[in-house]
Parts: sequence; structure tokens; C-alpha cells
Amino acid sequence: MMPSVKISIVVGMTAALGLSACQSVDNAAGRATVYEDVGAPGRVSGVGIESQDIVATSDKMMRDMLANPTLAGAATPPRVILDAAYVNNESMQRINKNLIVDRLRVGLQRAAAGRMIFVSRENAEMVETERELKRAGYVDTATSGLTRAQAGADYRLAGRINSQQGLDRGDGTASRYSQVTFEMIDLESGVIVWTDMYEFKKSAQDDVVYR
Amino acid sequence: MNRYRHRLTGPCALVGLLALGGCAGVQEHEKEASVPAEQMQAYLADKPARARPLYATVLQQGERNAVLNHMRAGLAAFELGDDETAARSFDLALDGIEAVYANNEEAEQARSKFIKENIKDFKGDAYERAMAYYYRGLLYLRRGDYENARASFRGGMIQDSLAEDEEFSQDFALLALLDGWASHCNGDDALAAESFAEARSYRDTLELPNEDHNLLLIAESGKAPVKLATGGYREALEFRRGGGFVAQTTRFGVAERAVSGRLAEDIYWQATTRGGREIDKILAGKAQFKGTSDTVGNGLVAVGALTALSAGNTSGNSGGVALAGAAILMAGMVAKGVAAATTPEADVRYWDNLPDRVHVATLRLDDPPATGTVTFRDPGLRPDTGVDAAIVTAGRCSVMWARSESALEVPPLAPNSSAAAIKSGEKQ
Repeated sequence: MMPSVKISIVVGMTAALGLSACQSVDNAAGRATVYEDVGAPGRVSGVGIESQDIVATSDKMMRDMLANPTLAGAATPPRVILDAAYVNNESMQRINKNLIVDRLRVGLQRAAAGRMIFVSRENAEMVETERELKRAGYVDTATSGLTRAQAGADYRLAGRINSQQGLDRGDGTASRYSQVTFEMIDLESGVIVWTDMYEFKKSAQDDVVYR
Repeated sequence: MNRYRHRLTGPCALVGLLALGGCAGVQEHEKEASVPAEQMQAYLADKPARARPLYATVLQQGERNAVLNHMRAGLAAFELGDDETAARSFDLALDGIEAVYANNEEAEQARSKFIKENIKDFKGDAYERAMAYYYRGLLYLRRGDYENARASFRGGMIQDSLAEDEEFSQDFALLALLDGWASHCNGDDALAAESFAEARSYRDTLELPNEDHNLLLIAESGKAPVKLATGGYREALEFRRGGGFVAQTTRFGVAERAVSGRLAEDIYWQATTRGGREIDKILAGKAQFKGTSDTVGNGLVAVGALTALSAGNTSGNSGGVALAGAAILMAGMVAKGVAAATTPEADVRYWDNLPDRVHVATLRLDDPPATGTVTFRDPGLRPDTGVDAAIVTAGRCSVMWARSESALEVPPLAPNSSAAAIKSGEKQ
């Protein structure tokens, strides 16, 4: 082999080695919006309550409430208040409780088909304003007529969101147990007429560069 | 023939070194992106004017520094009283902190010998993550959402659990105290008592709120802990105090009442008691590789040069000896090039508008006024400094928050967050 050829090979190898030492850095151009299944884990996830948990929790509660004879089998459909006012978040998860409760109420109202009557206490002020306008004669009585008072309720939703988290100092694995408990309380007697719980535990381990 | 070979040895080495040296300096991910003016304008339109330089950096530095930049900009918005913007920023920062980075490409690259650790998306060290939860919690308190405030403070305490030394694991007294305060304001007395006891177990000098207290007073003083890269190859992470007006004591004045603050947290202490990290072992390995490659390279270069020089004294195959010498020299340069391209530097990006310490007090006040005052004291070293502070009331409780150092007085780019930030840091 000619010396110049040998030297060219050395030059080539040197350059190749040198270049291979540099890995190209991919500055990704981003990713267009895609719709994802709300009932499935998303691309970005942690160990807390996520959309699939909200869907699963509200679905489970809804099925269970519909199977409860006191709530869904009474001769006179009971009036219920389903909002988050008495659902207490004691967990370490920041959450908008309405995400769970609204989904539960909407699903339940559609599936109950008249077996329960839903009373909105959140909007009581709005209703009161309209009632006053009607009674003062500023507006007419509309089509359904007047009632003596706003609807009272037989039962109201209460509940608690709780969690317990541990971190393994050895390998950085985070594990969180979450528990969502809902109850329907009799607004006269205080008796709990229905209760259900949804619980799950998730664990995950960050890449070592974050530990 | 010899002259010919000598002529080629130089270019040969040059090509190799140029190729190797290309990745030793600024890497692609360390550059700011150019953002179209209209896009920037639209993004900044709803941001508070004085915090816009910090928000501009959010766009320019993209995902890699998104958590860091939202922490800085969010805190600036918080100080300006734009709680809605601040909350959005801290929510985004916490989303990044809480996301689990498994099978992440950038994280994998951060472990590579030839790519700097700072390619990874910033999530901050434990104390920075905990402080992001702290500010998000304060924002919830200022909105009267005590349950989510409590969740935030609890989330922050979890971040503090990773300390290598069990003694310093989850000992963030400030967060435990505020966890209790949020429960207290929410009427969850049993939970409040539990958290107050926990806070006291971390710091026995804390003064706990009375049952009828409804005003939380917070004074932050001093500047953020500074991260430094030390060691032979800047592979080790160290901290030093950031300086500024670090108050030894604080005094709150509200509606003609005065109360002393108690030290609730020393952020620098929290930063330094984290202990060793797993990534430190990787960086130490990179540094060792770099040192070994360099030493081997030096040896080969010396042997190669001597061999090539000795070719003239060789009576037989002097051309072969010279070529062998050139090849050894080249191998040595390749090894040195690899050493130069190895990047063991520790990631020293940090949240620079954090305080050094936090003092807290509580009071009972039936009708809190809109403002109060805080006096920061560092007796014998500086004159007292007094600042006015807004009192925000929502729900059952009120919050007054003040700082000795403004969160707005930081450069647009976080320290060491990009090539430009490093350059401007060197100039200072």
C-alpha cells in the first residue's frame, strides 16, 4: 500500500472517530395536536390522579349508585345534590374536584332516566334572582309556573380524596396510593345511604439523571 | 519521502482535532431559539410588563428550560400581584416536575460521555422542586383554596424525601407548617394539629399558630443558593450562599400590632443537605474517562513524536519508523480529542430568584387591612430595611408576603441556562 493511501486511511479514521464522539442533538420540532383517549394513560404521566382515574372513578361510582335501591329504586324518585362542596381533598394531589363530581353527575343524570332528581345547590343564587324577578313582575312566570320555594334535597354527596406516597431513597422509585371515597348522606337523618370507594396505587421511577 | 510524510502529519492531526473539538464547546441544545416577533408579542401580551423579559426566555429556551423559566417568571408575576399568571406558570412547572422521565431521549443523552448533563429537561434539585410547590401553595392560600394549598405543600415535602442521609430526608419545616396552616384555615383541626407537630419536630424553634389566628405573615430574605461546578473537570456540584440582605430577624407590623417572625426555613441548608445524587456517579465516571483518555493521549503523542524523530537516526527502514511514529502520534491525538470531547460538567442551572431563608409569624386580626410592613434586620452588619407588603384575604384567612430582594432583579436568562447565559455570567 502506498504511504499516501495509508495516511489517508489514518486521516479518515481519525476524522470518523472524532465525529463519532459528537452525537447530534435533536432539537425536535414539536408535535402536532392529537386527540387522546381520556380513559387511557397519556404520553405524559406521573403517579397522581390522571384522566383515566377520573373516568374510572366516576364510572364505577355511577354504576354502583344506579344499583342502589334507596337511590335508584324508590317509588318516588329521591332528590339528590351532587356537587363538590362536601368532598374534601386531603391528598397531596392538586386537583379540581369538579372534574370527578361533574362527570359523575352528568353520567348519572343521563343513565338514571328519572329514577333520581338532581338539585343544583351551586346555582341557588342564580335561581333565587330569577324567582325574585318573577315575583316582582319584572318578568312573567314562564311556562312551568311558580313554586313556593326552591327544591329541597333528600341526599347529598360527601367524600374524601386521600393519598399516601413513598419514595425509595435507594433507587428513586415513587409510589403513591390514592383513595377516593364518596358517600350519599340523608339530609334529614344524617344516615349514610350509599358509599363506595375507588383506590389505586401507582409507582414510577425517573431516569437516573434526575435522582 | 520523509519530507512528504512530515508534510502530511500536520494536516492529519489537524483534521482529527477539528473533528473532535467540534463538540467540546457550545452544544446545539445550549443555544437559544429565534422566535418570530409576532409569536413573541402574542405570548407576552397577557404577561405583566415587568416580568416580560423573563417570560420571553420561556419561549426562547423552549422545553429544556421550561420548568426553570416558569419558576423564575412565575415568582416575578407573584411578586407583581398577578396571581393568575403566576399560578399558570407554577402549574406548568409542577407538571414538568411531576412528569416521570422514563425512556426519555434527552435524559438518555445526558448520560452520554459526549453530551453535557444540561441537555436534560430541567426539573431542579429537591429544594427547587419543593419551593415551586411552596409558591403554588401560597397562591392557593391567597385564593382561599385551602385544600389545594395543602396538597401543594404536601407535594413539596415529598420532593424533599430523596435525601441520601435519612436524617435530612423530608425535614422541610416551612412546608409542614404551611400544610398545617392550610388545614387550620380549612377547619380541619385534627389534620392541622398533626402537621404542626410535624413542623415542630423538624424545627423546634417554630412558633405554632393559635387556634384563632387568621393572618399568615411571611418574610423572605437573601438570595438563592448558587450552584457551582467544581472538581478537575467541573464534574462536581457544590453550593454557596447567594448573599443579599439575609435577615437574622424580621418584624411584621399590621394594624398597629407588631410581631417577630421565626425562622421557618433555610433554603441554602435544604440545598446542601440533599447529599449525593445518582447522577454524580455518572459524572464522576465521565471525568475519570476524560482523565484517562487525556493521559493515554499524552503518552501516545510523546511516544509517537519520539518514534518519528528517531527515524532520521535509523539506518535501515527509516520510512517505516517515521510512518509508525506518525500513526502513534495520530492515535494519541485521537485519544486527546476524545478526552476534549468528553463532557463531565455538572448541570449548574439554578433558580436564582429564590430567597435564602423564610421567616413566618401568625396573628389574629378581625379585619385585616390591605397592607402591612416588614422590617428585615441584620444587626451590626446592615441598617434595618422596611418594606410595605400587600395583605390578601380570601376565605377564612389572610396572607401577607414580602421579600428583602426583589424576584424581578435577575437577568432575563437563568444562570448557566444557555451558552449566552454562561457568557454573560463570565463577564460579571
